[in-house]
Amino acid sequence: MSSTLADVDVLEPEPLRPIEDDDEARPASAWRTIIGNVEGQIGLVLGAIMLGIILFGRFFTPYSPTELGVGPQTVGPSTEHLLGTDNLGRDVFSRFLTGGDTILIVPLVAVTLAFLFGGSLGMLGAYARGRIDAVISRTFDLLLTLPPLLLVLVIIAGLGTSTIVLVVTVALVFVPRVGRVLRGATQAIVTNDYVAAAQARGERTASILGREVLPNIAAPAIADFALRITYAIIFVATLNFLGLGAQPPDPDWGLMVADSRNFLSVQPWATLAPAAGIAALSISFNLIADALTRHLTRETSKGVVPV
Amino acid sequence: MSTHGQPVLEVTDLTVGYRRPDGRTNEVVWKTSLELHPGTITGLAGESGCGKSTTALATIGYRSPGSQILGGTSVLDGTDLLTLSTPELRSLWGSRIAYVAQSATTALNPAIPVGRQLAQPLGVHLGLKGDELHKRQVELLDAMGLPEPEAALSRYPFQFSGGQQQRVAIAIALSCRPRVLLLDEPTTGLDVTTQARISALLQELVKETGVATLYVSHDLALLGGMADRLAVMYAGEIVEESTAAAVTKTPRHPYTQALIAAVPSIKRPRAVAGIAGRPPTHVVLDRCSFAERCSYRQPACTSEPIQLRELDGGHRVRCIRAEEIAAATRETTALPIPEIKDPTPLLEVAEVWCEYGSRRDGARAVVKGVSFDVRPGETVGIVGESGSGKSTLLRAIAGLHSPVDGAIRLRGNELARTAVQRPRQLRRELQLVFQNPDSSLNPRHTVQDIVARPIRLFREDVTRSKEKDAVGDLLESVKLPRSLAVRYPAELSGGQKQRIAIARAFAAQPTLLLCDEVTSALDVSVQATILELIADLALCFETAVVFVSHDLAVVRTVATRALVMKDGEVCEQADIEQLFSAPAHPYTRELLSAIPESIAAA
Amino acid sequence: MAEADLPPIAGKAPAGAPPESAPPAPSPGRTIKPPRTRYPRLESVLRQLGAALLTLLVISTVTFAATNIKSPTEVARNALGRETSEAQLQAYVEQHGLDDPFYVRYGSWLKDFVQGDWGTSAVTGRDVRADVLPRLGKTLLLSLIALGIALPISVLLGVFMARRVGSWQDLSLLITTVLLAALPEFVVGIGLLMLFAVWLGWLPVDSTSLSFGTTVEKAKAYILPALTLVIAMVPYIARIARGAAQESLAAPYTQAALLRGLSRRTVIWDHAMRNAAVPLVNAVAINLVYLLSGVIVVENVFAFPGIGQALVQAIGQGDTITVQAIALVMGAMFIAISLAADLLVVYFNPRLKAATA
Repeated sequence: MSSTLADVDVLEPEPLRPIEDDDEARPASAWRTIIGNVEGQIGLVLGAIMLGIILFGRFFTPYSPTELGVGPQTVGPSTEHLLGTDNLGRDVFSRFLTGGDTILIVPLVAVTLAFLFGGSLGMLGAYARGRIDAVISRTFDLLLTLPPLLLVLVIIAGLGTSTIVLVVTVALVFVPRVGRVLRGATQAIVTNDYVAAAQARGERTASILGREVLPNIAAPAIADFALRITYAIIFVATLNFLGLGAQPPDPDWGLMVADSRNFLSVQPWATLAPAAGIAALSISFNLIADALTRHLTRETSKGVVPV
Repeated sequence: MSTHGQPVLEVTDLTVGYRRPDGRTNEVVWKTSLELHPGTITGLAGESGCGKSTTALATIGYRSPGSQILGGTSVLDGTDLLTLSTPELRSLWGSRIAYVAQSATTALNPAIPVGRQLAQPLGVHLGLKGDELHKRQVELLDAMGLPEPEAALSRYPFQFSGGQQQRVAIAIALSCRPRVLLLDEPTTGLDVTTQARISALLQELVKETGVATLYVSHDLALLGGMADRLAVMYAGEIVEESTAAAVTKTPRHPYTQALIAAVPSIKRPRAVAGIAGRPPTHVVLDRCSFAERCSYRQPACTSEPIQLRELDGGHRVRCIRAEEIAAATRETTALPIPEIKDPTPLLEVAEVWCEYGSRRDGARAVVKGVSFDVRPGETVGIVGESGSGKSTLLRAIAGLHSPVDGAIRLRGNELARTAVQRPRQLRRELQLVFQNPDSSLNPRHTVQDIVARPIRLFREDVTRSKEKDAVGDLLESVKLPRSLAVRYPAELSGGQKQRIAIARAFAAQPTLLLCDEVTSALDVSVQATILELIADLALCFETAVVFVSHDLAVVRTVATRALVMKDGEVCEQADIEQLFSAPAHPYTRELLSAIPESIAAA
Repeated sequence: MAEADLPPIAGKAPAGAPPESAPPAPSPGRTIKPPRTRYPRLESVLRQLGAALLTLLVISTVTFAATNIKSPTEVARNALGRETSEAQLQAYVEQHGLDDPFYVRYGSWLKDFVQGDWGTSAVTGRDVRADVLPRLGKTLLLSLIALGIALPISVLLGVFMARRVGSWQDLSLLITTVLLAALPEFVVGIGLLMLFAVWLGWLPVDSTSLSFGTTVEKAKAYILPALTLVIAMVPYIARIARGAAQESLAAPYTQAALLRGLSRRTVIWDHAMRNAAVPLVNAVAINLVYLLSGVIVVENVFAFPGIGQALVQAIGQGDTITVQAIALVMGAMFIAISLAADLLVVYFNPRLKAATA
């Protein structure tokens, strides 16, 4: 080509930085972030334990969780009944091992639905802008002003307490929230020039959303997913506690706390065990979510002025 | 060396470091010494990352988050500022030491009316209250040239223009009559014409108040015109220091010479020379920090630490070959001028109008009836300040912004308003390079993905199996190693990323390349290499180029014809030489006169 | 169960708009009309009032629709008992107009409600308003006490953490917020109950003394429920405050303020936190929704005689008329608090606060 470039050739080509171990340059993956972080590790271990209990506990119950009178009523822990019995003579330990179903499954399904539905609407709105975005975000805003527990209570009052109602209502509560988060995340991405470059190449909306946008919002989306599961667990447990979700004689943890509240001073374990179960499950997800939020989406490292 | 008697602020052997996440400390400024004298401006020049801002802030005792002062003294009126505690410094900051930050838009608190921000230091340091305070506030704003100073007091910063905001910031800084003034790139980001006015104001104020000023900037030409003494920083050390005239007209350090040669100048048509390589990220102590990029390099340069020596006439240089190196600027060769073989226009822009905002909330016209042509192989420049509509016009041509009226034709074919509606062949011929290399490459795609995409979309002659080779060839054409293909953008420097963007643009083998301020986000030395690259590739592939820039000198370097835009309209359209030697429109003349004096010898 | 994400700082121009060097002047020629607002502050207040009313309407519609899903005969059967005959059920239906189309029933209910007639409970037989209103007062007091404690603590904590980002104090507080935020309110409530009421015996086991006890006992009955609410809210709000504080404490205007020699208090509160206020108030307003849920749960745990407890009871008893009334009242209460928060945002946002330029 031209002669001026010959001068440049004389010098060495620009040296590449070697890839260091703690390199921030390579795009991070969610899994590696969780694993590489103490908070994430504890969350994973705790979550695995709880999952184990919830999924497989039912194979190790010494008694049937719903059978009445397997032991004396309202008695503390002993060798026959590791966590004692409740006021109907049921073994608390067996009930504990089988009580986590609703609190795990309903949130998982509901949040996934919320992401599929609300997430795609949010992404679409942020990308399309204009009238479509106005409609979508106004709808979100309107739904957001409705107090969730109130809304769910009212719907349950009318439609009853079946699992389907529960899942759909919880999903409905989360759709606008997830939608807003993903809309915000997409908005941050969509203003980048590489999206404009793809548009200038004449690529179609679906292709741009999938190739250019999605990989870049994966990080905040996954972090938000873990966070929503935490909230959903809290929400469903609360509904069960209020007697508006799972119904007796289901050995649900929320129900157990409500039922055994009255003899708290005599046999605290009937309340403590399920409460601890709920707490542990929810904490594990929250730890994972926090590890992801703070490290994957990389907290603004801009330093605080030394006032 | 001292010009006006005793220095007001004397900095000796200042060393500053940053704490790394792993606990070790990186030195970013090494044993730097400066003197500030009353009524004079001392310039501190350098590219981004050289440590000039950190140095400046450290001299007044401010430690940026994460930084530590590792050594040295900074003496103001007998007291070493570096030994003072924060409360002690607080009584000096704002009263005897003043600081003006780069962007007034961010340095002025957006939620507090301007009057109150002005009042606070006056109250804290001078104890002014009530009527006396009010009088002084109005006085200050008036002295800065702000219209309606009374009314201005109750307004918020966002209600002023960029230039006016900076005037307010300067007013606040000088309100308590400081002895030392630190200016940190105060005019960067402002329009050229506003820059010129603020610079004039600053010079006047310094002379009037006699404040000792340190002016930090990357703009060597600007400092050459404004400063009395000038120091050039590279990799955390001062490499050259003397009177401003001496440094800019007869530089003795190879880096200074190279830097001057890299700055596009309106007096030196089509000539610019980049510096290959990258500056080091922290101080280099055991040898010359510039050696690996220096064309005068010798074995002695890399075997021992290089000291700052004084040559005759008080000119200090950090180079062992300073006497040998002729006090002249580096050779620059003019970029090749493409030959226009075919007079029929490749691109025709006819009476295009563009608007921003929806009709309901009040739409503004940003491009008003612009027309121009581009012939095959020629480079046309579009110059204008911010708000002139030049970027919007470019995006309209690219199909990213729908014009509300007018037509755009490529080889006689009318182009649809949005890119997605245009036929593939026409999309292929028109490619775009963006301003910001950080946002134009998808951080989740590898270089291979990025450069191969247009190949896959548009090049039928390249099969999947040949794609990797094609990408490799393109990387070589932009002077990057083939092995770069597996890397992610975050691992590359700004200059490298911009080359990838250029490689991506040429991957489709376009007939027309649209460049939107492609060098504005880069350091001066890197800018030049990019300009050279674009010019060479365009010549090689016979691609026409539309080059948008706010910088007249850059446009002069690459274009053969240019348009000047203001407020959405074309003020003047002419061949480059004519535009610069005999501008017809008053706005063009205003732009030309606002540019700081060229620093290179003719 | 609250939001920890931060809306962007109000007033920031979107990246796509062209930068300007002068305030926008109407350009001659082809420009269409300039933006209409001459009184931005008034307009936004009116707009918020309108949105609040709309939300109230939506809440009432949803409430009414959900509670009236049951067929008229079912409602009648609920009220009169299982053994009633068809004829009696039919008479009841006609008497109460349960056969009328939806919008007629909704309209008449709404009209009655606004005029003060909240209906008679089919379950208790008493006037709904007489039962609900006293409870409303107690719930409001509880909420305000909790907010009044939680907000200042959270903001102070947030600023404390932000000033020491990355330090051991910051990290340990962060982990604490993660742990506390994951606990459902009823778990916190039960936990506090076990600690203070069962184990230590300092405080009453439930809040029934509110209806019967002395003033001191009544005051004590508020402590545990309020404390539970505070512990439930603080982790979320403190986190948000930390984020907002961090961003404004790291901003150029804070550095500039420091370099003007202003006092520490002025720099942190007058300069930095004033800017943090906008995203903070915005985020807290969004989270107030959860205060409402929290109140319902807490009243249930402590048998606190407020409208939350009444609501759950009414749902359990199938007392749809009471459910409707309470739902609307709670919705209105929440909207009032949100509106107050929105007005605060206007106060803090300079672009909305300023008079025309």
